[in-house]
Amino acid sequence: MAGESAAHMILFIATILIASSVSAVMIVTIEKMSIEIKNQGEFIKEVLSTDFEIINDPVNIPTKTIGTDTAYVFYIKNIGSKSFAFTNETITVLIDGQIVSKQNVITDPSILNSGDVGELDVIVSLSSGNHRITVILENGVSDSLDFTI
Amino acid sequence: MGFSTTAGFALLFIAGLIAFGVVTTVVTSEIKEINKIIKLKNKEEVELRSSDFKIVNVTAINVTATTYNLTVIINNTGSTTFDCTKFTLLVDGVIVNATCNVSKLYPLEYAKFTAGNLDGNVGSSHRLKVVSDNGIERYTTFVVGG
Repeated sequence: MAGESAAHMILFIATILIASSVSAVMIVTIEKMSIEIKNQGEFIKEVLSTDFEIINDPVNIPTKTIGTDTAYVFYIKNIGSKSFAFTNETITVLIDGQIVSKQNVITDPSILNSGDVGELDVIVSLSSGNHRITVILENGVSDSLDFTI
Repeated sequence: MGFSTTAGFALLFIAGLIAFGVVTTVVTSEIKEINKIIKLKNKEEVELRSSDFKIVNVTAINVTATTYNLTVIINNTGSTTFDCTKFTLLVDGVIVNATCNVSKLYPLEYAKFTAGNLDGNVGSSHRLKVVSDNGIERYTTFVVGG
């Protein structure tokens, strides 16, 4: 009788231990999932509230001299409701589908607030004719402009 | 044996409820936030579609032999209000510092932008681009007068 009780007790404790372990793993996994969902939600919110436009006159792209190089000047207007980082570390510039190295990209200012216009100087050699610039922000929001030199 | 199984399932059930509660709370709050932003985005989209302006008049009068003052009159032909401080003017592709006589441009109202000491001789032709706060763009050309 005492042996039967002890066996029941051991079985009970074992069941509780297994159930607790499974529950703990489940709760930790769910918590990680909820953190991921929260992060994804934040990202979606950021993407939805970010928008910008390259506002240059496509037939009049100004140039400026930086050191010994000639840079094409592009104007970026923040038409979204959120400010975004505007540095050569946070944006990617493609001219005719080719990435421009970040050393050849100069931006001003470093943060672009809603409604503000920033200057993007791209040091690149372009032949006369039609070209296309694409600017991609760090959250993937992008805009393109077809222009002529 | 019977009680152990019941206790085990009860424990798992409670843990499941807690986990479900955590996920539901997070998902609901995120969906609410995203929904709010989507609504805002839709509102902006509607505003953009009902926004419009036209360049009514451009006057460029020379002040020296090589510089001129520019005056641009804009009419809000849409049904939304523009923030004039966020307008951008480009002359021959270069942004110019322009001041506006009003800060808000209400529907059917006019705004006057002025920019001084721009480079150009009498008779020279230039391209003007005006960009509103929400990204609407309008072009025109003008000739500097004496």
